[in-house]
This record gives sequence, C-alpha cells and structure tokens, in this order.
Amino acid sequence: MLDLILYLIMLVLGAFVGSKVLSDEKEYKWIGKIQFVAIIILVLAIGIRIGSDDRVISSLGDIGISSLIVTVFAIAGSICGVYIVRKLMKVNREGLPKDD
Amino acid sequence: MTKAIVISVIVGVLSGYFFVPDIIVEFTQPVVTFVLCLFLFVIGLDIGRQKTVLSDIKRVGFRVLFIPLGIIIGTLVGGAVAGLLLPITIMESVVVSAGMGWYSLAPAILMEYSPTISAISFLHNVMREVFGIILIPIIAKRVGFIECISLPGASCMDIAMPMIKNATSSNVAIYSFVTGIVLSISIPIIVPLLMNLC
Repeated sequence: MLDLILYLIMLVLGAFVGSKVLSDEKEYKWIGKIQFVAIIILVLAIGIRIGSDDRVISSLGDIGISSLIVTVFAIAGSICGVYIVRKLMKVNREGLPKDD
Repeated sequence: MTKAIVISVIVGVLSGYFFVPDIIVEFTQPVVTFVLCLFLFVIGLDIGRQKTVLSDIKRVGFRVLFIPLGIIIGTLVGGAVAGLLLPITIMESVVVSAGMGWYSLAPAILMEYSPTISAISFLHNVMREVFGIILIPIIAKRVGFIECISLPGASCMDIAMPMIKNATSSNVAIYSFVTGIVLSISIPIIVPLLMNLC
C-alpha cells in the first residue's frame, strides 16, 4: 500500500505544481525529455529483470500466450464497456447525442 | 514503440540473461521506484499545466467522464474472464489488464510482486497499444467512433490520437484526449491497488 500512496503523492504533487507554475501555451521540451529518459530506464530495468529470471525465460511461450489472451479479452471488454456506456448515454455511433 | 524503446528492451533482456549479476538485478528495484516517482511527477506536471482540460470537459459535458469509466470496467472484466482461462489467478490477470497499454509503468510497478506477472504485463500492454492502434479505423467504421477511443488504452491522448482523429472527428478527438488523461491518472492508482489484492 505504501507504494500506491507514494505514486499518488507524486502524481498529485506534479499536477499541483504544473497547474500553478507552468503554462499551457509554452512548450517545455525538458518534460518530454525527462519522460523519454525515464521510459528508457524503466524499460531497461524491466528487461533486465525479465532476462535474469530463469522461470520467466523458461516460460516465455506461456507468457506470450497469456499476454495475447488477456489482450484479446481486455480489448473486447473495453469495446463492450464503451458500447454500453454509449447506449446508456443515448449517443449515436458518431459520438453525437441521439436527439440531434 | 519507438526504436529506442525496442532497443532498450532487447538490451535489457539480453543483459539480464547473459551477464548482469544478481546484485545489480536487485538494485534495479530501488532505481525503478525512484524513476517511477520522477516519471509520475513529470506526468503530473504535464497534466496539471493543461488548463484546457477542465474547460474541455465543461464544454463537452461531464458525461465524457463515463467513457474512461466504461473502458476501465470493461478492461478489468475482460481481464477477469481471461483469468478464468489462464494458469495465473483471476486477480493477477485483472492486474495485468489494468495497465491499459502503459507498458513502461505497469510492469515496473508489478516488478516487486512477481517477475512473471511483470513480464506478462509488459507483453500484454505492448500488444494492447499496438493492436489497439491497428484496430482503430476498423472499429470506428464497424462499431462506433467513441468505442475506438477504448482500443489503445492510455495512449489515446498522445500516440494514438492522430489515428483516432483521422478515423473519427475533432469532437471525438477531444473525448479521446480527456479519456487519456483520466486513464493516465487512474492506472498508477489502480495497478498498485489491485497488486496489493493479489
């Protein structure tokens, strides 16, 4: 639970500072750069963790299939979820209210 | 995924497989936690400075917030159903699906729970983003404009945005942007929450 609170605090803190200190007109190139570097480090670390774990390497096939199955159902579920919401909100296929 | 990211994954996996000693592997955990905090702070900065988001929501109506709600619930239910078919637990399958395309964040959070689940999360979220983007024009035509926002997950606010705008309309592009922001805020909350329930 501690990790959840930590991440939440960082997100909220960032949003608070961003809304007070930064402008939405100016382009802050460093934001994108920091995000990019962070992604690279995270993905590298994830890769190292995966590569160094024998159980993961030995079950890569199963992991691949599991990922695929979750993907199929998650995407299908999302589409259904939005479809239901759209019908309940009485919005048509183009995203406009039905009484238009 | 950009070339740099693909290269990083490959370098990481090969390094981890061939030579990185266990001590360094252990060290990745605190590094990841630190980088995650920095990453989330900067994401927060980016979201916080978008003063148009609130006015966008007001303009299109607060009902737009039901879109991310539908996506989240649909995704998690889909993840649960998938869990029934897989050797991992249902909760684990749900937490994998909860990444909703954010392949640099969700597996990093899940690293401390289980390397296997983290690996599945990584592959799944990459697939979600890639297949999602590919499906956008098809779903836009066959099912509906709003539904195609749900496909790629969190990247509907940036990477997938041009594709969504192309296949739909500028109105829907705004819904997509707002949805992406809500998802980007939700994922770092939902994933650790569900992980603690695994």
